[in-house]
Amino acid sequence: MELKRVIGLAALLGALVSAPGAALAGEPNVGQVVAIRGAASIERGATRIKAQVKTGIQANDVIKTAAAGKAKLLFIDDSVLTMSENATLEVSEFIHTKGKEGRSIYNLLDGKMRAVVGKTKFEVRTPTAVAAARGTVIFFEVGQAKNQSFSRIICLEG
Amino acid sequence: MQTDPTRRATRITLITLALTLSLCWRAQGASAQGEPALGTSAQDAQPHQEASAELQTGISLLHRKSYALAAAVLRKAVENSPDDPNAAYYLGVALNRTTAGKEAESLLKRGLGEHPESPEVNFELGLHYFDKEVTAEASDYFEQVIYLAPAGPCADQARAYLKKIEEAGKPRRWELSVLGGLQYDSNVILSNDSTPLPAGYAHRGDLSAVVNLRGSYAPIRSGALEVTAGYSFYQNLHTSLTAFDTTQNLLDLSASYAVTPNLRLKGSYSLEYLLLAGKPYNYSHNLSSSISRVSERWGISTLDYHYSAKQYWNSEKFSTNTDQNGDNNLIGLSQLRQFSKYVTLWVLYSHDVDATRNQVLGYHGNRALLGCRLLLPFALVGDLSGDVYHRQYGGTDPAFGVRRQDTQNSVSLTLLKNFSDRYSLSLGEVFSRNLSNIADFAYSRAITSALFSARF
Repeated sequence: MELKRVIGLAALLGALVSAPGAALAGEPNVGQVVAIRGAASIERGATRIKAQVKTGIQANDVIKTAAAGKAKLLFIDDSVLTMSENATLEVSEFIHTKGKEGRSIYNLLDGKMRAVVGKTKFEVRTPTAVAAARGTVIFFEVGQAKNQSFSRIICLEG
Repeated sequence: MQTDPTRRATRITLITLALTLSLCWRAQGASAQGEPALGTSAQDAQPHQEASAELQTGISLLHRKSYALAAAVLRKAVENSPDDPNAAYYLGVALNRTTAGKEAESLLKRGLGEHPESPEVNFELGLHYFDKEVTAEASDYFEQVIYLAPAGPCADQARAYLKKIEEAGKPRRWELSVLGGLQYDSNVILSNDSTPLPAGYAHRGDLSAVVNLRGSYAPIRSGALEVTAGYSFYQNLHTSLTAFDTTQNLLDLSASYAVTPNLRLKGSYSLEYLLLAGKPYNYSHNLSSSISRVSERWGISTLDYHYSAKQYWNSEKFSTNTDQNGDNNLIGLSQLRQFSKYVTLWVLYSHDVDATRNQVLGYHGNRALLGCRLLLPFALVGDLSGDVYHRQYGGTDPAFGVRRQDTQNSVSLTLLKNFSDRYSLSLGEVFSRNLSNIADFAYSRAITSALFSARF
């Protein structure tokens, strides 16, 4: 009887871990993957999850796209981030309460990303720059040129 | 009998997708294949039984393209069932096809969260960003539509929109601009305001209507080389001082070549033909060349050279006009530097030599200009500049017994409001004061203008 219960619990945990969008340790999802091309992964603590459509995203997740990969992420504040290939993005802070203005901070560590900014105070940090925005469309690029890190930020709208 | 909630949700989702499919047709993007059939799906009858009366009515109105009415009805459906994602999504569709504002965007994103792999939802978001001219985002959604259902009815529409985006992204060869408005010049006749009016004039200032048309064509527009030919026509029509109505015809041919991404050479030729009160006044052949260098630290540095050969006609009012026949050589150096997104400064120095048939009218000039552009709230652009132009004339004026020296000081302020990439309105004020050692040539002048501009 006890063994059955343990097996049942193990199966439930396994299902939670492997299911797209599974939330670990009760952490709420702050967004989800809504489109994906090629390969992308989400690092959550010591765990690495294969990113698929509807995979949930939590605060402190690190999302990585592979070569020829692309991922579109929709957050609960209506922000949409489109990551190009070989990009690494960390969701370093996400505070959102319905009806109140929240705050979201992302670290773009590598690659290119386009952001359609949602309802929160939105901030993107790169190794060499910080950009804050509200209700606009911005393009970010982080890379290396002549052994030096560079950041490019272009406002596409607003 | 009570319906199982899971089955009900699945049914509504299926119906939703079937109905949304039919909405992919849109008047502005209708493909040659026409509108997908409405209401022929086997599931189509279901939502009308399952969904609320408002939702059913709203969907029907969307089918009939009564988007504003659909939005009002669907808003009621959302108020009654705030947690119903379908009602929210359809309201998003209705709003997207009417106001296409933030609310539509938010509701459509809610739809995307519910159905990320629905080609229809992606298509609707593609339309939203296409209308907002955020083409990179729009392209993404349209590509996703094709990826999700390459043979689906939305895919053809998505391809058509992607083609439109590609076409719009290509540099246009033709350009047409129209500028028109009103202008008040406080001293049309350029007379000294401390002396009596010259004979035949009742006043110095006058209101005029202004129009400027310009068309250009770029037969060559490759990565590094650009060749453009253009024609512009300018006309001002005074209320009373009609003898000063000016008509300008300008033909120009220009070429620019980027030697490197930071170094560009430009050359141009223009022919200007000017009429005053409908009678020929002068014409000039103009040659210009410049070299510009862009650097991150200093901005854009430009060295210019202009040559102009001018020929005048005598007239009843200007009986010695041909004395001004001659040429002008000008060399200039300018620097433009953007200090932030909001502030750009420029500075210019030029020296010109005007050689005329009657050397008393020729001069050596030195001009210094300082200007700035400020991006202001409410999408306003403000330009403020000031310049000093000193001219030393060629010889002793026989009428006054001295060699003329003028210094013209000008301040210009323009406030520009861009309503879109195409339309703008500008309000301008230029104040200039010409100081001269010969009192007859001293004057002050203020020009106030309100001009509307459109580009096509």
